[in-house]
Amino acid sequence: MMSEKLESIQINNVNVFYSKHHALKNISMTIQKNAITAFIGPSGCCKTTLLKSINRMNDFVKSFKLDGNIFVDGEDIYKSNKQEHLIELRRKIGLVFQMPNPFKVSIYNNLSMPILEKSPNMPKNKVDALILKSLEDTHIYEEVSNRLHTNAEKLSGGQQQRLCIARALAIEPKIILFDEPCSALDPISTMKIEDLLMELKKNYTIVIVTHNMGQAARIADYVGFFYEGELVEYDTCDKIFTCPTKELTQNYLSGKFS
Amino acid sequence: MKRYLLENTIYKILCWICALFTIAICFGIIIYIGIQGLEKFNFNFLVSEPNPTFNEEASGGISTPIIGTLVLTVIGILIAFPWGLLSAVYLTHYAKKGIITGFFKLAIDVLSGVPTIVIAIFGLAIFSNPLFAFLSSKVDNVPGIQKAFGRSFLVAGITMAIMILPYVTKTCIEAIRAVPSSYMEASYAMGASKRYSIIKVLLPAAQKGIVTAVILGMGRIIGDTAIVWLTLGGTLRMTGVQPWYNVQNWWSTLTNTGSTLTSYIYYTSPAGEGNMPKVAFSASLFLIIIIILLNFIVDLIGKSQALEGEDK
Repeated sequence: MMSEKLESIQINNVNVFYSKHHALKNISMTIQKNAITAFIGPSGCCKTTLLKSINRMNDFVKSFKLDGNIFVDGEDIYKSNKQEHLIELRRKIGLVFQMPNPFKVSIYNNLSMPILEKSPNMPKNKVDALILKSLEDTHIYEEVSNRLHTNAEKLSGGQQQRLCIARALAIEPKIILFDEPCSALDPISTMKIEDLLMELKKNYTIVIVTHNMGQAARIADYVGFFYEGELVEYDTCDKIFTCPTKELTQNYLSGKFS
Repeated sequence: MKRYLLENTIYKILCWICALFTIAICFGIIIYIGIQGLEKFNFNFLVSEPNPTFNEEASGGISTPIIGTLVLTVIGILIAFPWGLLSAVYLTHYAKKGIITGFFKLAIDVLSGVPTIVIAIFGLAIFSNPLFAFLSSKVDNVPGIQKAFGRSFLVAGITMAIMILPYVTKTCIEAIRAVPSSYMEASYAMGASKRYSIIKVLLPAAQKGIVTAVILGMGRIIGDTAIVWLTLGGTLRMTGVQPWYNVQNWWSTLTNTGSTLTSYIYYTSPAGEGNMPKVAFSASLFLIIIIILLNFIVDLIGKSQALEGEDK
């Protein structure tokens, strides 16, 4: 059933080590295009490690070492360590963090900075159009249109997080990774972001790490359950939540451990 | 009365007396200098040039010492600020943690502990080398001696820069460290290069601390005497081609000697040649006003919204 759809990310026999600690154990999975894939599992099961390996944000951790291959659109992303390769990769694969982290500049500059860093010679009207589009796509435009030039840190937490999503969208990536984007937010902001993700999957491939099983059930098309560095079960959302094949998955979903 | 209550009271009174004395000494000095200095302190005093004389009436004012202090501050900051900031960026974001960074930190700590008179003597020794004659002037007409004079505004300014470098670097390091790592991560995650992330994301976020570093450095230059005395000399007036304020004479002024507020105070104090205490107090009053203003600005920056990333 999975093979009918287009593949976007192919993870092959990935093992991750932090110094001697074997963090991810022989992970292989295929992530589908234009769908939401959720990683669930208890804390410390290295879901985030796998997520951040997809755009190589773990490279900044000194002791990090990865074996195996991750292919994005058929290209091995760990084949080169060149700066320009990493920059190109991260422009193609955006990342939204757990804590909203807008830059300490105006809302407008938060969005214009990544655009101008990517294409320094873009005329101002095109930049403005892109900014408008990403603000509208994240449904934050109406809330901030009258204060685009004030400091982004004055926004509420939920608005800041949507601004961070807009910032990721502004450079037109293909894949967006979300690392527990709602864990610092209230229920209403969470609902807004979930709605937003459902819309974004039409144009983007989305991978989300979440602690909230309800959230995974609401928005995900595919769910991977991780436990102690292993991928226990990976299937469509319906199957995982209605008839998981492994006992461990069932126990986790029914709240026997967390 | 119970014993512990008595002990409490005694302890409280002791603390109170100590605090009171601290405040009293601070205000006592300022008020004393204010009273002593106000007699000669007027607009004319600020804008007229000093006269090397024993006659208090004909002693003139402090216009060139003010300019001298300003010149040294500008030269010192222009050199030490970019130097210190780039060192701080290197130490926080490029250097590998280990022996080298440990060594750098030790060097900064040692340099900040070196008394300024030692740095002054070092500056004088270096800049007396005939190679550096272009910064001051050549000692001519002395047979058998090949050396530079080694005293000028440029030499003193560069020496000041070396003196404040550890403070500027340290304060910049603290300012950069205070920026949450999530800022840099966000920048990398959107595909920005390291250079871009540092210039556009990290340094703007550390702006307040960096401005504070500059102002603290200014305060130290303005207040320093040892370096002025050794590398700028004890002359009261500008010794370059006169009039010193004409643009074509600026270079000559910079490569010659003059005075600053601190060396002026020394000269006119009972310890110096001038011995005109009232004039010395007036200059001290002006110096203290500048230092208080700088502290006030640092305080204001801490609370200000102006550097908070609003577009103009």
